[in-house]
Amino acid sequence: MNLGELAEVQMGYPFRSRLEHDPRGDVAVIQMKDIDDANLLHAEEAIRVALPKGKTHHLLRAGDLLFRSRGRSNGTAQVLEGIGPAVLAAPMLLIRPHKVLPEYLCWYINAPATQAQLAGLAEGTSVRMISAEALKALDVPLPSRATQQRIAQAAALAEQEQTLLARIATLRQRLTTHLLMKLAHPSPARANP
Amino acid sequence: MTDQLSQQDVNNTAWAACDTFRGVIDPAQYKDYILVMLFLKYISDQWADHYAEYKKEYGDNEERIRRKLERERFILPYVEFRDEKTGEVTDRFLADFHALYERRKAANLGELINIVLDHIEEANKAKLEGVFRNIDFNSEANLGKTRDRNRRLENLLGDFAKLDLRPSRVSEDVIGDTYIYLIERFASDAGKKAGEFYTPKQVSKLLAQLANPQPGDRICDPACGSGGLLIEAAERVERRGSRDFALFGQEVNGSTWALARMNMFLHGKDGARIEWCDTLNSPALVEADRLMRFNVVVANPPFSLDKWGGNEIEADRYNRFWRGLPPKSKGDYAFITHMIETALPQEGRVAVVVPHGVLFRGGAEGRIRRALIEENLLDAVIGLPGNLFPTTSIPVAILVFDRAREKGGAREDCKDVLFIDASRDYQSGKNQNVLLDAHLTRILDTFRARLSEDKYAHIASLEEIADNDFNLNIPRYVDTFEEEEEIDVAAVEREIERLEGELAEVRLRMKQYLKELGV
Repeated sequence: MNLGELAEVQMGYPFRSRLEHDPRGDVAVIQMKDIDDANLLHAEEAIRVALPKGKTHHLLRAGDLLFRSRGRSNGTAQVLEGIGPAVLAAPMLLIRPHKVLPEYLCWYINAPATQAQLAGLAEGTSVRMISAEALKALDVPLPSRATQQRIAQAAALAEQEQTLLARIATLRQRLTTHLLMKLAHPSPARANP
Repeated sequence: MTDQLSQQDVNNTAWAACDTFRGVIDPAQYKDYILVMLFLKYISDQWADHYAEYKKEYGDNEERIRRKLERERFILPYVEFRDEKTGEVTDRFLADFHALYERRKAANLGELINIVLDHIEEANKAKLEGVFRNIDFNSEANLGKTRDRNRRLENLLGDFAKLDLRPSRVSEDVIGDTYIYLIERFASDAGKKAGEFYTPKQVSKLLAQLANPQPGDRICDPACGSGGLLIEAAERVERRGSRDFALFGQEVNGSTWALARMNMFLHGKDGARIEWCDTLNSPALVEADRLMRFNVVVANPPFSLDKWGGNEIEADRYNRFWRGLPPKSKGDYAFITHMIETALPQEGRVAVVVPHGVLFRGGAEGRIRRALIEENLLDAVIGLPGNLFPTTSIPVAILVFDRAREKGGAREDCKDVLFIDASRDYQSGKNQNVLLDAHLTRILDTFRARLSEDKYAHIASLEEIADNDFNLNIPRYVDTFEEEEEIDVAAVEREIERLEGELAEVRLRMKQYLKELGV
């Protein structure tokens, strides 16, 4: 099924002028830079502004997906519970799933095969760009709800596995360096003897 | 005092005036026009202010007023135009800004401005000779065809007409600082294109305080640019309540030299002697065929200047390079040597900004460095953060030499060198890093106390430096390596074990899921 049928896709809030940090602002503005390479959202570092009245439908909800429509990686980040009042700034695209599990859709968009497919839909010469229309036309397989859940959970576990492996590797590296350094210097290691 | 103009007001108006030229001509050129106009406006307003005062005192007695005004810092003469045939005077006006403003619709506006500047220079030869020589307000190449040129100049006059610079409204300091502000803004705007190594204010401040000028000192900057560092040094002395100092500068670039002269006048340093010359090849600050000597020599010379004249200078008539001739492709040690040779024996202090290569390069530079250290001249090496300058991102260092450490000097017994690694203290800015006052204070406190401080400062004996082959690279002396915390092997091993257990569990759950899913 087309993504457009499974979810609402809309452009982020178009701020007209340069964003100025307003310490009294009550709304976090999520920009491209607030999403890391692992597609995790870091809303705490986002700048804050006061949102014009009557724009509350732009506020993000848990389960929304934030799609990076520009640049080389077109990943998507999922909004988790407890993010607080926040809006997404254009040109990122907001995906609000209604007929599909957000976790599942997020995984699907970020999967390498889908990324390759998106690359084929990209336009633009200097900056690669994926339009809302193109994203809406993306074909998303829709297994049963239970399967979606399983897939999302398995994906989360695979993610966890990656994190654990990386952490173990770092610790092992530190341990080995320490032990080998001890072998090299009989006395405690000094950088500048 | 409510009608006093603030520094901010003056800065903003002056910067707005630059919009007239922005995008039309290169900043390297239009800054000269703006700064000359600011200077003209200042001396015109000063004249008008004093004229009004005397008018109150002497009424309509123009003769007496005129005589009084002859004693002004700058004399504004009258311009007269005569009919070529009859010799009759067709127009006569005071050579000042206001006359030009009245004539802003004139078809030959550019020419008129040139004439006024010419007259002013002629009437104040001793002070202003050559200052306006580099600037042509009637230049088609710089300012465009007649119609465009006239429109631009009219705008320029209009902008400055709004700026009231009478002494009763603004102090000399404000105007001088506006001048510095514009030069600073131009340097960051123009970047490398302007070709000028503008020294950021905080670096000037640091350099001036390290050199520590005293009342009565002769202060010199042999690569003075627009003179900001000299003014900073002078203000160090003034802050101690003394105006007893003498300023000397040399600058090779003609239009920058003109700026330096105007800058001095605007800061009330009328006595400064600024020479237009190439310091290395033809030093102009000489007396009786010998180089002048100074109590304090400070500079931020161009980094690693290529083709500085190393070929011709071998037989230097002032014998400055007796420690060895610096390489032809890098002028750093030529400037350093010049500065040391022009500092007073047994008392002169030298502070100079250098690229790091100066600390460790070998060959001729290594030999000169070794000689300077062995003569016990080097007092301190201070490493600064990178990206402090608009023109280069490389980290720089400051070398402080003190000739009082020579044999017979007051600090003869001081035989060590202070190293400070201040490279990690800065505030990162958008395009440039900034030294805050707190960072300067830390450097200066450490410098004055001459104390070692873990990971910041180290006092190296001459033997230690000799052991390092006279290499002054700062990390050899100040160890800033943050050692990893001593790790608890057992705890780390336990942690790894725990994580591996977690990993096994995750993998097991994964297997189950996949099984349930039938894959």
